[in-house]
This record gives sequence, structure tokens and C-alpha cells, in this order.
Amino acid sequence: MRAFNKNTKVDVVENKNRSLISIENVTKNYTSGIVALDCISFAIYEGEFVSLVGPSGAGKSTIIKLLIREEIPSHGQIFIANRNIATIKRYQMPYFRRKIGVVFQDYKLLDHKTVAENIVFALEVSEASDEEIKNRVPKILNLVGLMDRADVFPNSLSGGERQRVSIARALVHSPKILIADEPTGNLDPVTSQDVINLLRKINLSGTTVILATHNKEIVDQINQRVVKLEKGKLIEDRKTGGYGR
Amino acid sequence: MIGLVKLRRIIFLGLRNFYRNGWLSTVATLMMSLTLIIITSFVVFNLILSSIINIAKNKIDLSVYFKDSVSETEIIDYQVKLKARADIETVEYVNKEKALSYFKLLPIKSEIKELVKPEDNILPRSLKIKTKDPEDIATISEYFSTPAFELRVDHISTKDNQEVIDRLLNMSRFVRWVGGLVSILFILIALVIIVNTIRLTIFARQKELEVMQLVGASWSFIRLPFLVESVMYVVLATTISTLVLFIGFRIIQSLAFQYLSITEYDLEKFLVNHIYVLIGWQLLTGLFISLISTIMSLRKYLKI
Ligand SMILES: Nc1ncnc2c1ncn2[C@@H]1O[C@H](COP(=O)(O)OP(=O)(O)OP(=O)(O)O)[C@@H](O)[C@H]1O
Ligand SMILES: [Mg+2]
Repeated sequence: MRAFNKNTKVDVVENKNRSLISIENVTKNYTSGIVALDCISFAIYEGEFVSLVGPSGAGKSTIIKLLIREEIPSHGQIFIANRNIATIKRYQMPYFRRKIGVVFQDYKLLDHKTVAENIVFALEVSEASDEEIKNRVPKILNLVGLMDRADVFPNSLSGGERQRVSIARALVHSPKILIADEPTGNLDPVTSQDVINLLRKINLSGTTVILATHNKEIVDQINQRVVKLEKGKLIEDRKTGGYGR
Repeated sequence: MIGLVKLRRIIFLGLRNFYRNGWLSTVATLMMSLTLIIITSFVVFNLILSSIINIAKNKIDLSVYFKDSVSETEIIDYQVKLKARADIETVEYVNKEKALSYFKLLPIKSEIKELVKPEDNILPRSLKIKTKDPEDIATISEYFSTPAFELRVDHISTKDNQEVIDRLLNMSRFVRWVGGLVSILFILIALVIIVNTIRLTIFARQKELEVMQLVGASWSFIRLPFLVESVMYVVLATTISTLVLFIGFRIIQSLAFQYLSITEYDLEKFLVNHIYVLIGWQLLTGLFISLISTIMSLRKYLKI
């Protein structure tokens, strides 16, 4: 905890040269009066694999929403690649979002599009060429093992399959930052293992990965940095190791 | 500038959404058809009404019949003076020969027609006056009724039916007013319904809008497919509405022919002659309504 606070201080001083992601004194109050995050500060460095852990309601998804500017902090600032993301203009938002791949806890698939179309859409909007789309979509579907489900609508998929579509969509841009919110929540242990292996592989290729989960075994197995939240407060930030306690 | 690839993708997305959202698209198309049918039939109804009224009004004229004692030069003098007035459309001098030829054309029994012979022409000479506005007929009629004309004028055609003319004029004013008001009312109701239908179709897809924003779709990629969808259902609705209007007017026409024996006004011919205007008008109205309400409703759910 103390080590971590030191880190932030350093960051504030070296204002010009922040880490890839820098969360500074962020508080988030929802309009319902709930304090989802209470003065959180931590930094994520390029190439890191950070597990964001904590019990249900701790504020993990809230941090993720703030990182992609789906929500705005009530207080404090978030910097990504040295840019205060609060200053991103409306018209710049799409470009910002395309640089960060997100696996949403509730999948957020387009119900009127098939599995393949969901992924194609993410590529189409980012102005990928037809050839690129033709090449990438089968590859990414193969990667998540959904080749035979390509033309099925999300409603007729199992929870785990939907989760994998969400993963495929997040990866299709080869983003610099990959955020996964509970990506194993609906998966059996074997498939979970596959997903985690996939995330590690992606991390090894240089992508910064942020994984929100409350699955102790997974976190222990990954054995990388762990940031622990509880009731909106940051209670532990360990460079390596497991879920703790 | 939108690239061709992007344009193709947007159009394709719009078309695919249109049939994937089958139920919403059907509702929107039907509502739009209904709106166009209501708006167009009231506009056409008002056009027809005013042209029927105009036909009837144009038939109203006034004939001043002169006594045989009045000289022809005097009558022609009146004709010239009347023609000079701004409110007069035409003044026709009907001499004895003309009066006879008109008389022969009247739909009356030939025995009666035999009674008047060219050698013994008892028909009076007259001035047939048409005013620019039928409302002014009464003024002219009054003018020729003054004591100065008592010895000269035999009778005035409208004197007996001035009341009928007044009633016709009042009625046409009333019908136009009521027709206009009822039309405006129905058009407003139709507009409220269609705007809200479009809002609901977009409300039903808020999740889709949210997801599109989260995966980094840009302004045009979110909005334009919706506009393509709007264009789709406006085109379909125009087709439906045009067909319905033609069938509807054909039925009205045959009824009018059967029961009211109105033959002078050929509705179908009117519509056929104006088919491009009719289709163009519906397309424009539909596009205007749907594009504006789509853009307005999207604004509510879009942060980009
Ligand atoms: N949109 C919202 N409006 C109001 N309150 C919210 C909203 N989203 C989250 N909250 C509240 O904020 C708190 C933190 O929620 P969050 O989703 O970040 O938790 P979490 O750590 O992701 O939990 P889980 O592990 O169950 O996903 C919770 O108490 C939740 O009820
Ligand atoms: Mg969560």
C-alpha cells in the first residue's frame, strides 16, 4: 500500500512521463448515492498483466467503465498514454475505443447480428479493408473455437460461447490494451484455462492485459501483479502472487 | 467524404437491419403508410374540393334582360362601361339572334321551341355578366335594380336565385374551412403517431446503440444505417400508400358516379395525370418526417 502511494507521488511529480495507464485519486459516485470507488490511485505499465480482484460489488467493473470512458469519474483523473481521457472529444471517442479491446462482463453483443457479423462489425467500423476482414475473422473465430457457430445469432449461444464471442471481438483489432471483465465467469474450468492461456499469450506478444475476476485459482495460477479492491477502496497492490488471504 | 467501401458497408448494414428487425420495420412501414395515406388523401381531397367549388362558382353569372324599347347602342354602351370595371371578368352582349340560338339549345320540348320564330322573336336582348369573384354578383345585380333602370330593364336572372347563390357561396366557404381544419387535425394526429413510432423503434434498440458506441463505431457508422432503414420504409410506405389511394379513389369515384351522378370530375384521371407529383410528394414528406425524427431520437441515445 505504501509502496504504491509512493508510485503515485512519483507520477504526479513527473507529470510529463506517466505510465501507460495512470489512475489518480479517482472517486466514482453513482447518482444512486453509492460510492463505487473511493479515491483510488494506481498505475499500470506497458506490457503488464494486472489482475483486478475483489468481492462482488467492489468496483472492478466501475474501474473498467471509467477506463473506456463509458462513465466519467466524479473526482480525479485517468491518463492513458499520457492523455487525460476526460479531454477526449466526442468525435475522437470511436478512435480511442478501437485502441482498447474490452471483454464485457455482460458480453454486449449485437443481438441482430450473427457471431461472425458481430466481429465483422467491429472491423468494418474501424475501416479495415475487405481483405483484412476476410482473413482475420476466421482466424479469430478459430482461436476462440467458434468456427462452427459463425452464422448463429447470440440468443442461441450458451453463456460461455457468448463470452468467447466477446473475447474474439475484443481481440480482433489487436489492441494495445486488452481489458477483460470476468471473462471466465461462465466458463467450465477447462475452457477457463484456455481463455487464461490465451490472455497470457496475448500478454506475451506485448499487449497490456487487465483482468477483473474473483476467481482465486486463476489469479494464483497467473502469478502476476494483483490489485485488490474492497467496497470501492484499494486495499492491496502486490507485484506478484496470488489473490491473497 | 465517405469512401465507397464505407458507403457500401453502411447501405448493406441498413438493409440487413431492416429485415433483421422484421417486426419493428413492419410496424414503422405500416405507420408510415398510414401517415402518408392520411396526409395525401386530405391534400388531394382539399384540392378536389376547391376545384369542384371553383367549377360551381364559375357557373354563376348574371344576365340583365333589357326591354325592347332600349336602343342597341345604349346596351352596348353599358357593356363597354361594365367591361371597364376591375371586378368584371366578361360581359357578353346577347342580341335577338344569339338569344334564339341559345334558346334552341335549351333542353326543353321542341313544341315550345317552335313557339319562337326568327320572324317573330320575342326573346329579350341581354348582357351576360361574369364577375371575377362570384361574391360581387350581388353588387351588379343591385346596380341594375336601381329606379334609373326600372323602365329599361325587363328582369335580372339572379334576382330570384340570389338566395341560392348566397347559400352556395356560404357553403363553399364553410366546406373549405371545415375541410382544412379536419385535415390539419388528422395530419397532426398522424404526425404525432409516426414520430412516436419512430422514437419507439429506436428506443427498442438502445442496447444496440450502446454496444455500437462501445466497440468504437463512428458517427456515420451508427447513424447512417438507421437513415438507410428510414429510406427503405419510406419507399415501401409510398408504394403501399399510392396503391391504396388509387384503389380507394376508384371506389369513391364509382360510388360518386352511382349515387351522386357526379361525372364531371374524373378523380382517377386527376391522379394518373399527377402520378409523379403524387409519388414525389409522398416520398419527400415521408423522408422529411422520418429523417428528422430518426436524427432527433438518435441524439438522445448517442454520446458520440
Ligand atoms: N450504473 C450504476 N448505477 C448505480 N450504481 C451502480 C452502477 N453500476 C454499479 N453500481 C454500483 O457500484 C458498485 C460497484 O459495482 P461494480 O459493477 O463496479 O462491481 P464489481 O466489482 O464489478 O462486482 P462484480 O464482481 O459483481 O462484477 C456496486 O455496489 C453497484 O451496485
Ligand atoms: Mg463487475
